[in-house]
Amino acid sequence: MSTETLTATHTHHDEHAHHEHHEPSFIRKYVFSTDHKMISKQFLITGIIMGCLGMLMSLLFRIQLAWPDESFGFLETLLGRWAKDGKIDPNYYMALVTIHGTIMVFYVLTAGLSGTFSNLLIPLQVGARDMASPFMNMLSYWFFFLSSVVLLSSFAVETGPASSGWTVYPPLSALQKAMPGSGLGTTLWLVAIILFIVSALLGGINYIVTVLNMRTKGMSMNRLPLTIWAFLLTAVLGLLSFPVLLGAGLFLIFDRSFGTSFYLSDIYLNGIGALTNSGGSPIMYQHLFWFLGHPEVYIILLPALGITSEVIATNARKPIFGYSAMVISLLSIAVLSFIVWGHHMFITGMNPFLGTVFMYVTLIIAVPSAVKTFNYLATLWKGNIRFTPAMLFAIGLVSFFISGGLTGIYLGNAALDVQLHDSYFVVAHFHLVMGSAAIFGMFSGIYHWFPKMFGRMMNSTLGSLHFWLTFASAYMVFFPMHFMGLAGVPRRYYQFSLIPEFGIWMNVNIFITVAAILGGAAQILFLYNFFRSIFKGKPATQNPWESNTIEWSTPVKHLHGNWPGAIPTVYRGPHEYSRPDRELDYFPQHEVGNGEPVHYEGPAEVQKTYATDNKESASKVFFSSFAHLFMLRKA
Amino acid sequence: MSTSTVNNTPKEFSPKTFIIWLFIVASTMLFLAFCSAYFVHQGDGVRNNAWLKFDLPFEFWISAGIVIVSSIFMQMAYRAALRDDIYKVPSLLTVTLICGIAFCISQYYGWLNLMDRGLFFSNKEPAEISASFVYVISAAHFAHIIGGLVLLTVGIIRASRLQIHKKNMVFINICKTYWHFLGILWILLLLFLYFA
Repeated sequence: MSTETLTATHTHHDEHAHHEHHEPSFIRKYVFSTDHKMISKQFLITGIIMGCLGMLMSLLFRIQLAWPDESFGFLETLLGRWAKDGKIDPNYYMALVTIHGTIMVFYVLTAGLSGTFSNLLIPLQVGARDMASPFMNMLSYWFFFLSSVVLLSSFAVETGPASSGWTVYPPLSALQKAMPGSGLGTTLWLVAIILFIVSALLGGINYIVTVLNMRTKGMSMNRLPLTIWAFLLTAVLGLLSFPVLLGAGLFLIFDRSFGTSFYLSDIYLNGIGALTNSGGSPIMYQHLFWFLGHPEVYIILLPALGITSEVIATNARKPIFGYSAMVISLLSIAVLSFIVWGHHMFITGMNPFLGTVFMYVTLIIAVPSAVKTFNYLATLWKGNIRFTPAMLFAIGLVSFFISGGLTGIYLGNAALDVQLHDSYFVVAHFHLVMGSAAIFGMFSGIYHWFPKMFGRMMNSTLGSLHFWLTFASAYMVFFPMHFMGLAGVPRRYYQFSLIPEFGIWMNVNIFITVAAILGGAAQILFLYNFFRSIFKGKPATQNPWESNTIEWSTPVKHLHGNWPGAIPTVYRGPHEYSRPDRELDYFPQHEVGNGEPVHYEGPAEVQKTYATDNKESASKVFFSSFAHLFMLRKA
Repeated sequence: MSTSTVNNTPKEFSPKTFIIWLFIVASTMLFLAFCSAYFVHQGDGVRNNAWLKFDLPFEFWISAGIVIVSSIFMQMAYRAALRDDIYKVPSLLTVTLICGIAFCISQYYGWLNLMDRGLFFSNKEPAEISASFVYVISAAHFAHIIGGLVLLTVGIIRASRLQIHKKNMVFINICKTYWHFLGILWILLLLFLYFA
């Protein structure tokens, strides 16, 4: 195996390639693996399991919302004392909402999405043998796994899991006796999140270093696939924001267990009396939390947008429209995400001047977001579209990004947010723009890179069916919630039948719950397709989607070190699709070609022809163009 | 497929060195969060006459002196390795480690000093929250120092095995970068607590 041409940077990784004939033990290969491809599968499968649990929780509390006065025997069978007489306990309802949010935001759409695809694609698409530190990468997964176990273990606690919402605002989360879930359940939640932050930082540092330091020859930054740009910026966001959440969590732990008053002040607890804590500020927690919380939205969304960019370009058989604009948009979104956290706090008594500043910077995010949306649509326009399941999910993301993004403009407006805050309008907004869009990006990535992960193809028919059912049910679930929110229906309430004013929404709640059950059932199709295809799917070819990026130049059978020989050199950008000067409608980045083409601006030969055939002076062309404009001359 | 050479990343800025820089960025964000919270609290506290001003323990200043001395020894170890004066490296790193331990002891006495004055981590009066902040900030830095001591210990073992020399500077470069960061960080935190 010829790897001696590599520089010192890759020496360590080449050792893997040299020693690949040593078959690692089962434990080293499948459990404590340092191979980025195996770690990506570990992230994915753990993320899928967590996703299923999070979804099941949502179905349980949706049943409560739809039929609050009914009893269901199966609930008691499933939840035991938490659903006595077939009705979910109110505290447990809050716990389900809390853990559903936590799981979906952190464990599925952060670790499950970014962990899976950053691990899989960064080394493969930049041309590296593995991550900068494979050991840190392995630790990243195991911290994540441990964190998942700790979080789920809170269901075995007598007082139940954390119940103060996925944002765990104090004082509810800071006082151990505030509600049942505020006890050990919240302690476990905090421990789980601290482990999660460690995992995210270990992973994120690795991703940044690998992208910036370990690219193959020719892989300049302007030739990076948009997936890599997205993963890089996601990692930067995590690096800068997760430590702040760690700080917020530590203060909370100190308030809970060490008698400090960082967040607590002037509290009277029913049955206990006035507490001695004073001087603390629960609003300070919100500032610290949302300093992570808002970038977190983009930590979730950017990888999905990156995946969508690649999938849409590949399956539309066109260069992505406006590569540079896409990169600049990602950068702008990343920068802006750090200065908009206050829009989550308009109703905290914030100074109106400050609120106005936060409002304007929030609304500015609509600009790069719109650029991305238009570029997706322009890429699709007149494309030779292949409606693979991955492509369907990518287009679905664009749809959710538009419909959910538009309502963000409402909520970013301080005057409107005061009315809409904590209503179902907010639930509808973030489930569309962040939840559904990101999960569709994740599905798109799974369907697209499944052949690279497992060497087999997923069933396309089942994939399409999965898409249509999920797409329809997501809209049926979340679209009506906008109207509920506009009518003032508050989120997190346990039993609307107790409030006559909201009685007219009961039928809508039933409709939403039935749609949610349909959406949940659709995921069984995915699970069947996914796990069956791992073992019995049609064997994949090396480049099944005729894609340009260099991960498809690796053998179908995985090697620790990725390429059997030297790492390929890259000669062009990732989106050279449908070039008129080529017989094939794709041009892989690593394929030696006929000179350097001009990126994204059409074939160089065509431009050259115009330039060389033009014998007229520039001034003549300039003035005659007006004649053409007013049709005084025929072209 | 081409089989040409890969990557022209400069050797002296290895991925591992880059990792420690990114870790420093993450740590800086954590301390920025603490300091921002301190500012917010202080503003509220002063307005409500609930912010206790007190002198920092003099041991904290001694710690600052120790950390400066330790950084000098760290730099000497680095330069010795750079000159291939490899037999000096273990001893210089050991002196740095001893300085690090002395720093920890000094910090510990600093906390005892605070407690002797009735300033505890948990607070009964709202004004005492300022003491809680001092404990949190100094303890978070202390935790980072413990990590640095582990790193130095590994460095001493490697240097004793003659694995740190002119052509293998990555590890000592990491040690140096991190240790200097800790020193600068403590001085900045101390100045922040003093002037804020």
